Amino acid sequence: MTRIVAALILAGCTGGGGDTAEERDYGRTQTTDLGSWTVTIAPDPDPVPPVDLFALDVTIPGAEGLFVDVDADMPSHNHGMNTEPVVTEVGGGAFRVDGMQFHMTGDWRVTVAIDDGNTYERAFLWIDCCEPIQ
Amino acid sequence: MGCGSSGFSEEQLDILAAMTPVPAVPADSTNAVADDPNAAVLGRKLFFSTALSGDGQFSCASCHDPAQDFTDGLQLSEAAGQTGRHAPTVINAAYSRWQFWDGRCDSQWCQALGPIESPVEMAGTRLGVARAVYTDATLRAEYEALFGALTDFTDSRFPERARPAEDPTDPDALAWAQLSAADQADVNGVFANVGKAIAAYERLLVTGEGPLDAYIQGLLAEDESYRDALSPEAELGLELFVGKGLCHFCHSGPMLSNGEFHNVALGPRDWLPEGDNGRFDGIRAVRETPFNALGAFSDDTEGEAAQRLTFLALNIDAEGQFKTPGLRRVANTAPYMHGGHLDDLASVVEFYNLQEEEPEFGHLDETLAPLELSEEEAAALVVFMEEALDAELVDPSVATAP
Repeated sequence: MTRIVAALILAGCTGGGGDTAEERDYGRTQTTDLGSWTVTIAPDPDPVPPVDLFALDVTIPGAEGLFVDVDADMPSHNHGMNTEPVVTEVGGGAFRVDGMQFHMTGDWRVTVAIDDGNTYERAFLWIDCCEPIQ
Repeated sequence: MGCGSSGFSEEQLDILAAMTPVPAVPADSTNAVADDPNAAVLGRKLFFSTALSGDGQFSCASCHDPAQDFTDGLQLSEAAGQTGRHAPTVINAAYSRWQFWDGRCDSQWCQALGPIESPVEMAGTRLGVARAVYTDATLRAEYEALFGALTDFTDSRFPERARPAEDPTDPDALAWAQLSAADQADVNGVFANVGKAIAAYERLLVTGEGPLDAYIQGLLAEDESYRDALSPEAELGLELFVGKGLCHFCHSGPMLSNGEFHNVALGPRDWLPEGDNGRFDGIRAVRETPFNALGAFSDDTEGEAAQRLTFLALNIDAEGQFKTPGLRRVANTAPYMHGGHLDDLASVVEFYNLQEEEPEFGHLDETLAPLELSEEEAAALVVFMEEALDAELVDPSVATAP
């Protein structure tokens, strides 16, 4: 089920800025595509370690109890992550995402999907990954 | 844009800095004896023992021959039968998170068990392995010192051979089904321990530093003599490796591998079996094997390896993907690619330069495109791999039969 949702949230999306690094917004806070939510992400650890697993703390004020899913892909490479992250609601609009992994260097697009029962919205946040693999 | 007099950009210098020094072998918390010298002594004997095979003819070293850099030099390996893949080297395998070309094991000890029971490799069985260890006084003494007393596997309730198999009519599978659950668990435990001892030995088969390290370390230290470490042609090859060649996208870090899986669009060959879906099938297999990091025989079901397996996704991107091999000593391990598709390094560079093949499964990794290298540039990349990536084993004395 999670993968189906993940496929949906990544399928055909073009959000989060342009096709080149110069056009992309790397800000850690973005508004969803329909404007209802403000999403802030914080990798743990930060900066993201290349290839290793990391977590993502996601804050969405007002999203308590709502369906939230998170995935990431590299649009320029036409692939997603090799992992299936798990989202856990922490409370107060905060969510912990375990099992993230960026296995290549380059621009990754994190997609945060929020479904409040009426609308399904997505926020796109770019992360320039990473320091070279050690 | 160059940086200083070296010709490398700041970004390229970061990429180069990540290639050296060679770090210590990563810990394997799933194997409690991974770094036990006595386990390595036992594992070395087991690695070269033909008694683990079904007919007493083959050992791990049959396809991972020390004289050929722990490969066999063949397109497809030949032992009890012919495999469907080329034998990768064991050297530096300890640095890899996933084992086999498709990553169907998440540790070296899990990997060591597969060929023993493969009908086309050693054609042995786990019960046969347990009997072989029990009946050899030296192996038994060393095993029991590490893992505790062995059951008498020559007892009449045990057949000579038994293993689980997909085909329930397989004689070995029928014999396995006749064993009690307690005996099956006992045999599985011994089998896993044999794998752990072999892995402890294989962790010694690692390279030290070579010309690449001397060059990069000198460059970063602004030691003007750094250029002496490489010939001008190899230096050009390195510039291409982290530049126009884009090799570093996947061949990064100290082993010159990201340790992950990619579909580089290798087409079929007449010597290869059809239907090799690579990582897609490997993900299913590593989830299912009882010898994975989350299984009953793992010594750490909550550590990094277990976490990687917990979150591992099965998706269509994995179709037709194979593991990025490390490149240290790569000139010694022809032929290349998972099916021995390419005879030599020049052919490998030509393959990436032209990118003319269509993948049997899945889609080409989008990072790949024709490189438009000149003949001189292609030749320089080959010289770079031959010259700069050479490195001696840290302990060459262990690269022989005991």
